[in-house]
Amino acid sequence: MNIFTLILPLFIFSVSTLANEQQILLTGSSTVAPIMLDIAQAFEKSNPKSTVEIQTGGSTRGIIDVKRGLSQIGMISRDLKKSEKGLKYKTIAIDGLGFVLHSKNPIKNLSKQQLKNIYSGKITHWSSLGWVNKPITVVHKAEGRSTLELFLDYIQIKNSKVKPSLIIGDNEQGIKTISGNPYAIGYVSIGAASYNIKKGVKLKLISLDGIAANKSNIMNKSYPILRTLNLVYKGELSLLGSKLLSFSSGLEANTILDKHYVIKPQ
Amino acid sequence: MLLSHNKFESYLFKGLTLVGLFFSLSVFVVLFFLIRSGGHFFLTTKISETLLFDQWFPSEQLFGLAPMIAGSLLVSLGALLISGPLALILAFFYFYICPVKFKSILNIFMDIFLSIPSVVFGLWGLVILVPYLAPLFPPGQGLFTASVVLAMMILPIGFKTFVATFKTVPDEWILAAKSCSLSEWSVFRDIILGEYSRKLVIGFLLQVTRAIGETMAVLMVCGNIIQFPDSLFAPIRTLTTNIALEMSYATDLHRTSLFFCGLLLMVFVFFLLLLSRNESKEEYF
Repeated sequence: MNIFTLILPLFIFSVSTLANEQQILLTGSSTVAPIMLDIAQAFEKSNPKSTVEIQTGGSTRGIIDVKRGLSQIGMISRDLKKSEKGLKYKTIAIDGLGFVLHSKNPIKNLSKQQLKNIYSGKITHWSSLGWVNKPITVVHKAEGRSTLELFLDYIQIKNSKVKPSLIIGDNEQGIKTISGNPYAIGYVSIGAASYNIKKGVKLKLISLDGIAANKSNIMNKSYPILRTLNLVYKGELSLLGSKLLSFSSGLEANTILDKHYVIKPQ
Repeated sequence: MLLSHNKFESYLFKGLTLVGLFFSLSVFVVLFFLIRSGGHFFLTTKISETLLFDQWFPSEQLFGLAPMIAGSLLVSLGALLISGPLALILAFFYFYICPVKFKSILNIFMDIFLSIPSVVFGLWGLVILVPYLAPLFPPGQGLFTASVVLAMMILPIGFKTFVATFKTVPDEWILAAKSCSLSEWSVFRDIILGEYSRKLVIGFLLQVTRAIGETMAVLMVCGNIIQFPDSLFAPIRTLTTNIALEMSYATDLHRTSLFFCGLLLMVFVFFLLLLSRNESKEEYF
């Protein structure tokens, strides 16, 4: 499982194997990781002697690791900040941030104000939104995750003012948490959510102020919370690294991006 | 020239001693590393305040560890309350009552249990246990769920240690008890609990030691909210999950505070092991 990569020995091991030219390590966003995992598989097929290793830990880890030289490429699920402009980057896809509910939940649309009230603890029960009288399980992301920053930015709320019932690490944990709890609400990448819904996970994406979280609304930029998915690196990449980078934005990656419901940048 | 047999053996012995020494010393290396990395935090903040303070907002330079220390202790205690008695009874059943035919089955079952990676227990808790608990006791993840998952993980350790303890009970006692036609229950109550209770403590302590350091399984089912739990089902965050959640992006003082969390854990485990060593005059290890 790629989520649980914080275990130190594994981490040290992977760093020490970097010395080998034919291996490359990517760390960072858990939103980008599943996409890169598929791209890496295809890449390894066409470059049989190479191994691509992928670890998650959030976009900030991706940036820190690249800066420290612990990984060659970082996966970032947001635009680069001003202080990070020293790094080079390549945008591989555009994704949106979607709010998800359990598929049993009949609610189809929420407004920005309603979301703000839910996350600040002003609305605590589903009955206030026209459903059963059960407490809302508010699922929130841990600090240092770019999905969290995107969310706070949209809702216009300070993180210390959010009153969550649960805090999760990466997307996968969030999806499992919400699909296992009919009264939960959370936010994840639209790509990751659609991918899981297609696989039969009990989840649904809701509309934001009447705008559905789907491909066409991301493509015509009418969906309110959009972000770029980037690969960042420092200085000159190794041969294998630059090969992987061009592979990720090349034709071969198209079907993979499609499969993960993210949009190729124009 | 070939080495003589004796010479070879003495080299082998010396070599293995060195390897053993190296591994024992590596504990001190880890400790040194933790103190060096966490020491800065120790020097720049008032430790007494940190340990008792309940506000954890690293971005605002607030490092209160009290809720997480409480979380770690409570979840380990909860796990022990579930697993401790269960392991003891299971071990008693295995050693004194279980027919020989089923003994190996139970033993293999425990070995398998012991070798399951902790992440699998966490995943089991997240996708099987939590959906049952969520509608009944929202939000479903919290102190209770984490305790149950941990209890399953530490059960085989308790089981193995208790069986080892039972092996030291003199056969004559059991034979004498049987010849007096005492029931199994009396044997359990009067001999095991009555005369051997002090030696059983080690089994409980080793279970807690395992529980307090567990990270990934707990991370998936404890809810990760930093607070003192106000009910059995309230979400909590432990010292270990705090490190796992925040280490990836922590810098500067925040980073050293996480190393300090690790140092605290090491101190807890050290004391637990010291206690269990004191309790066991017989050597199992």
